[in-house]
Amino acid sequence: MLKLFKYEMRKTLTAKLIMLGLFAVLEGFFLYELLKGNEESALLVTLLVVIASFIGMFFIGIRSIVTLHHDINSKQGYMLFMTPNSNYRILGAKVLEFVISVLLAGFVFFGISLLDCKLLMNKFPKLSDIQDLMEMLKQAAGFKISIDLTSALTFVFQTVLSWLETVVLAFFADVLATSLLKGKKLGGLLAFILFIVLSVLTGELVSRIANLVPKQEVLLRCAAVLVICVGVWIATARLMEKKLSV
Amino acid sequence: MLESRELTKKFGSVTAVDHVSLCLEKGHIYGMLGPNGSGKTTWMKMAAGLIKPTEGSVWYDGEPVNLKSRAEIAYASTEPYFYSWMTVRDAGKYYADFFADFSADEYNRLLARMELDPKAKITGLSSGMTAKMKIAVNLARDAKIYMLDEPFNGIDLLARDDIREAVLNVAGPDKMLLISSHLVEELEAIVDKAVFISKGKLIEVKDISAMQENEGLSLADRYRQVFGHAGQD
Repeated sequence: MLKLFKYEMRKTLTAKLIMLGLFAVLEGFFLYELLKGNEESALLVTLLVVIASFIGMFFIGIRSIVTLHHDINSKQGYMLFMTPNSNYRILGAKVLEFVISVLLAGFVFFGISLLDCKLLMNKFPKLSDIQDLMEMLKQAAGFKISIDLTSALTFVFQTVLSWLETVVLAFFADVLATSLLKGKKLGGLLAFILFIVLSVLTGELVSRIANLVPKQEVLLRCAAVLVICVGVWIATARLMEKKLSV
Repeated sequence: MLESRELTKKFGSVTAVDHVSLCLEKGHIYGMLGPNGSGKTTWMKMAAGLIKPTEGSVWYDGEPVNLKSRAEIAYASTEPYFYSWMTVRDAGKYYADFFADFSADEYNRLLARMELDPKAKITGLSSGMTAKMKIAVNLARDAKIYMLDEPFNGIDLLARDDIREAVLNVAGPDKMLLISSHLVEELEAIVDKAVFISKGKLIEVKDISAMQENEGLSLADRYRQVFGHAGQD
């Protein structure tokens, strides 16, 4: 599967490099404004860097879905489906590519965003007041004040898992549209509606499971999402095995 | 060796392959002949495991086509299918990564013979060069079965000579080759058996030397008889 993974990474390389390039330009702006001592602009660009981090993670998922769509709807898919690899492996490599990419991007983008915030507050101490205000708001809203590394990592893990769930559901809907619903009137629309319905249903299911044991909410939520992802992966690969023509 | 049993493929209301039962044996080079839209490509794609049949099945060495058959069948489709980012060298590395029977040395030899630059981007190649590229990467495999769909399409006489030579080089008693082409005369110099297919149905499988001896017909003559106006009801 590592060889498949290698080529999945290669397929999305150009898009990722473009994304990285845009992020680097934004970061360059930030450093320029910081060195110039332009407080307002530096703050604005920092916000843009944070937003770009979220968009970057979102983009990686979209790119993975587009890559699968292209593989099962174009002649280039022969390169993949002619190889002696099962559909479980082929799909597994795609899921792995997404997980690794989104984790790496998360660490790089959010790491840089945090560093930018730190640099900004060091350079402009007045901005620390904003942080104090945010803490007060969080207290008022009942959030935990101290954000330690464990809870930050848990948050990242949960976010990645939840995004993974959306991506594998999109994989399933796309394969369904290209196999069972191919040539059917409104097949694409039906698959999209199914994707929305499945997303809502799985979201509801995960919430109910997470609420079974209040103190273990996060753990149960993660476990439920993981089980759903594995289930959808198996269902999608099986559908590919039985019905998908490329 | 490669067998289709009542193989059928429908695309909506169109039946591309219609209950074709066909058994292809090793040690032969088969030519698959038929007009456009007769179902040759669809049959090959089902044998390669790329298209799922509507009915029937394809068997390889006594088993339905599966991962083993994918590892032992080399299929060059008529359409270009390489990734757009690939160079000629990348395509070789890709095949080497996935097919245990791929020989990098043989690939390089074929590239040199066909005057293909390993550094060239595949998307920048002419259609003729791309056709040679598909042949080189597939014939560099020591596969049990080679299926070449329209390998002579859009290429000049000299390139056709290269391809013909490369095809004959891989043929052997434990191999089977299946080649589709509209260029009947071109095929006649290579194949020893001909599969005639029309409107998705199998018409006949002919042994070419027997046909020449017993009926005094060349492959082109038989093609005209089957598909020409004389062959129509």
